[in-house]
Amino acid sequence: MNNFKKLFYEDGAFFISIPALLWQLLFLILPISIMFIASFLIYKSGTFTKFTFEHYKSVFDLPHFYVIFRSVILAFFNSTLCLIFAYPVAYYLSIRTTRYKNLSLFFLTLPFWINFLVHIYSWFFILDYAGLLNSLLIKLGIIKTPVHFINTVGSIMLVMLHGYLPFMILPLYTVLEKLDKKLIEASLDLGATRTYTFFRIVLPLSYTGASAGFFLVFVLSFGEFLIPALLGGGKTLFVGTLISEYFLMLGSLPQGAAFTFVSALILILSLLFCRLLLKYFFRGR
Amino acid sequence: MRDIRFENVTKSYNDEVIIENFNLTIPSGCFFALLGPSGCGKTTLLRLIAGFEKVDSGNIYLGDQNITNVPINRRKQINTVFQNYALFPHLNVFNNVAYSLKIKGLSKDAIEEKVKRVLKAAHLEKQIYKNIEQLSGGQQQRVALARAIVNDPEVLLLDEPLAALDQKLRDKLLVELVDLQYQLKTTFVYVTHDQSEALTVADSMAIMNYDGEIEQLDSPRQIYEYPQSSFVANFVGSTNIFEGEIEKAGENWVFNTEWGKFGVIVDPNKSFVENKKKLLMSLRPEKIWITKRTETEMDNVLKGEVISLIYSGLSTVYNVRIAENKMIQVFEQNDEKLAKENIEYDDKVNLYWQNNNAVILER
Repeated sequence: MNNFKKLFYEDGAFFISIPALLWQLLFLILPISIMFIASFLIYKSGTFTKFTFEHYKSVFDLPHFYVIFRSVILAFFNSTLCLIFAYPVAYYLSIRTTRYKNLSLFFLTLPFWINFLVHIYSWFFILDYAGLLNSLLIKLGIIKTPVHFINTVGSIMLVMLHGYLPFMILPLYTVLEKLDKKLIEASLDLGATRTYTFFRIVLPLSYTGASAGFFLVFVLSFGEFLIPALLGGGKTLFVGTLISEYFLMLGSLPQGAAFTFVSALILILSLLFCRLLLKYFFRGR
Repeated sequence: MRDIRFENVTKSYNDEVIIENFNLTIPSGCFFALLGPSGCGKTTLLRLIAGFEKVDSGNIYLGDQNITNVPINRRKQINTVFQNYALFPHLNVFNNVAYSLKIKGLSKDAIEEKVKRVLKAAHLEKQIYKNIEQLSGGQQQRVALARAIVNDPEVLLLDEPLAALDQKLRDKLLVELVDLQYQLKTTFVYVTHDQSEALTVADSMAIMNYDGEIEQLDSPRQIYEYPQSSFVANFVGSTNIFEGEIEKAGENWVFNTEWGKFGVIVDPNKSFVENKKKLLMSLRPEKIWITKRTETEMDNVLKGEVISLIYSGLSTVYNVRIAENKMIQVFEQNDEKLAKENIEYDDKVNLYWQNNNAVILER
């Protein structure tokens, strides 16, 4: 009887999470497991044959292997930029009074209400040959002929920064909002300057929010596919693009799978490294 | 040692005036309690001294120094113990206490020596490298105190520092606070809404009313025994208030009420007392002797009937109806050094008191 009760009341949380867990199992764990197995098999004319390490060995010889590292660097770059831009916004929002706070949060989440594709395409109006930016620069006399922005790394990074900024602001805001403002007063009361208080109190205590946002943006940027595809004219800046090519264009399933797992491993390693860096920056002093 | 002085200070939040043309001197080296109901502005006063808030007008002085516009972090002689302690959760006990010393730029050895000395005095030697969340409420309170006094401030501000603790611990820490203040000779400004806390610790206390004005500034004994207004009499302890008219009867004064004539003694300093004037009389519940017997030695008497009694071990509180429209509260110690009368519900009782037990008030 007791066990029965426990199952339904105390372990109730487990029962109600069964549908979601089942979903994850069927559509995430299972396909990934199949992919993992497939990465060790030879694939010929529609069937898998014998076991091999060949695909993993050849990953390192692939002409695009360096893309993994470029992805890491660009993802790191994007996350860092997002952090730098998001922090002041989140901090400002967290100390605002309720009246403007709700309105500001509404504007912050506004981009999510619009389809991501529309979101990205709208940048064409700005970055295009005849776009806003070019006409503005020509009007101002800074350039004479339009500059090619669309296909550049810079433009992709710019759009990514814009697209992922809310992912950084929201977790940061959540943490900063909960930060007891009395701690800031206590620090000032003990003779600290505002700058000292920021680096010793606010920054260390916002670490959880900053790392959550950082990792979110990092992972999303690392596998970025949509933005380069739409803006970058097929440039293989990120592994996302490359993986899709392996699967969709070359039809080499095991090779794509092996490449995916190697890049996932490198992603995890770089996240661990970033964690150390962030921890040092936020809490090290 | 320097006094703190408020001079015509006005402060409002969002167009709501909290204090207006406020004047107060807090003497140096004194354990000063600011007592008042929630929202009376006592915390605002504290925040103004600390520098967390800016005055709308007026000046605040520390001795001769005008500190009105001195920023918080430059008021180094003033430190605060916060209501919920505001300890830095990511730093351990040692680093919390060492925080201000590091800012001062003291050497590592000097910091270590000072922090350890203060923590020893606070009975926290064993907790020195613990994290804040590992400490009990009482220990956290001690860390907050240690952090605030490690810099030897001239003024220590305490904002309801014991509000989050249970009664037993609170009583213990109150005694420790009094000892500490006695040793340090630092000015303690103690904000509380708990009258018994204030009466226990303070050398001097100010009672504030809902309008942010000081009703009375005095020693705890004076405030309790000789309240200057019915607000003070009601807020500090409890009391029975009678409305009536004062009358001169030869050398003495008599207070006429609809329930009887009572003899009173009037302090000659009370200039508001004039013949035939409508005034109030306050009579503390513990000054009344409740008995079923008839006595002749006592100055005043009221007859009534016990409506309810609340027994609480140490004492009993009786509610006695003396008329359709008047209830009197009587407080009796259950000391039973003498044979005790047994008083029950509905008993007819006599309430006795002496002329000097009542206090005449203007309002």
